[in-house]
Amino acid sequence: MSLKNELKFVYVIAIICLVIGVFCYSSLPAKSPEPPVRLMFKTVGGNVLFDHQAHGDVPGLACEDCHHTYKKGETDVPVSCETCHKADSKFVSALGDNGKFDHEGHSDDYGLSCNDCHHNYYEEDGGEPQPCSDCHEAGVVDDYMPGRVQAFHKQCISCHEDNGAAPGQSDCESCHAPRKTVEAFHGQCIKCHEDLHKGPSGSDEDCKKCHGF
Amino acid sequence: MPNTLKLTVSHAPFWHNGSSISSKSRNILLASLLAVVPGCYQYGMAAVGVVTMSIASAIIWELLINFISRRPISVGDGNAALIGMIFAMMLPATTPWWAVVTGTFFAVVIAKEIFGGIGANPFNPAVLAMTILMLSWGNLFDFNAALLNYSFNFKAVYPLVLSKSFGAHAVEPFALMDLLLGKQIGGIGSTCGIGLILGGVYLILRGFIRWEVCFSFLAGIIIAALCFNILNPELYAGPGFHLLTGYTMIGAFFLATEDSSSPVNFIPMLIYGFLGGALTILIRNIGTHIDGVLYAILIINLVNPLLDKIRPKAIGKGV
Repeated sequence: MSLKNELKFVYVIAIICLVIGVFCYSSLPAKSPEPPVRLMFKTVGGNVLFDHQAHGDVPGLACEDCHHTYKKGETDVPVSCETCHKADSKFVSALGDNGKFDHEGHSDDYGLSCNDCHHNYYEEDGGEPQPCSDCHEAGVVDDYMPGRVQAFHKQCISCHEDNGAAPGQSDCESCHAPRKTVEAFHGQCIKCHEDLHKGPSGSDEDCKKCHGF
Repeated sequence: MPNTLKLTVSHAPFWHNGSSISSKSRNILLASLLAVVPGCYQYGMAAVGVVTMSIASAIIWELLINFISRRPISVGDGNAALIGMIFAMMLPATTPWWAVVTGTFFAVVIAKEIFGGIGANPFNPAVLAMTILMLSWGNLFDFNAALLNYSFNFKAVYPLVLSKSFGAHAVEPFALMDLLLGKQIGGIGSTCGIGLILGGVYLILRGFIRWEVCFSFLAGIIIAALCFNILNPELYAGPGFHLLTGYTMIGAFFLATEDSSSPVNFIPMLIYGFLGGALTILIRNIGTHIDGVLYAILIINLVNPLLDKIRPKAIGKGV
């Protein structure tokens, strides 16, 4: 092929590719399928890939089981994963009475009433609290209300410091590095499962029981 | 009697054997199709859009820089189209058009033309562009998040993320044969291992890329991954997994072998490839990045001029 023909050939290729490329991007925009196939939840413990399709395929699991106010064609906020995925309702390691949530601090030190968090408070059972993120908003920090990151950080680090266990405030990489965050959060969850001999445990190879992969 | 080597030299005129840069570019483009076509089949017209936009924009950028710098039009050699193709092979099918166009700008203008055009670039242009984009808009290249809307008949999780976060046993469900056949998520033209191997072997047999670089790169991956695996089999996946996931295969056959940024002598080529493979595993297993191929190739591109100092002894005696 002569140099002139090579140039013509490349021009033709460029024009054809440009036309196809513009057509694909303008006429075939990516649409999110309804219902979604998978969803990515960004959490303090790392991203969680939620397989919506796999959950939809579970026999006996209806849309309303998670989306309590579900109507066809509409979307609503589903219940949290923890509603179904917990070792035992009496033991919630992260936020329960035996966990790391500073309940006394919130009720006594910050002057909050029970109803501030437990909107449907009952003397008998206390009622389910609102999610932490209702008050601790992402990216919003002021003198009175720590942001979401600060709140969760305090939740972890205060315990480490109280017990004199590493990592401390100056040892960021012990948690915020590949695998380290996962190990810390994994340890927090898995310990309860192991104590109760329920659900997935550290020796259980079935990761997807928690991670939905 | 000393053993003498007889060299036969003929006089001009010489006959051109027909090889040219454009012929080489065309052949590499054809070989790359073996991996790109399965990718487009898997991801549909979105992938076709990314590939065609990348090729077109790469050619247009080179044409523009030719006009601006008042240099001869060089797009005829097909190198710009090739850079566009290789760059697109690493992208997820959902890459927005502006990221493709920005990426080809970095590849053609910043990584190649600024250094003097073809043959003068110290880094592989597609790798440099991809790295800049990944550092600038990392969320676009999180394959798990980018490919959320695709439904596959295989586990739709980027295997290297699983291995990095949960250790070796989390990737046991991935059968090596499935990985080889491209049953994994990733870049448009980076996941079909069999296509990349066939394309690479074709290019080696035709003499367009050097087997020394490819095989030593893969040897580096195997040996380093094996060492980690023996050290802690629960944490670090085996060599088979690392060979067939991420950018390993495209790295070995299409990225590390780029002419301008790789050595020309035998020993340097072996060191260059091996270093690239070993660095890839080091970055994957103890670094912070999910895949190490791109950074490893940039590093070996950097040491390439030093490696080429290792030269064979010249025939005869110096005067």
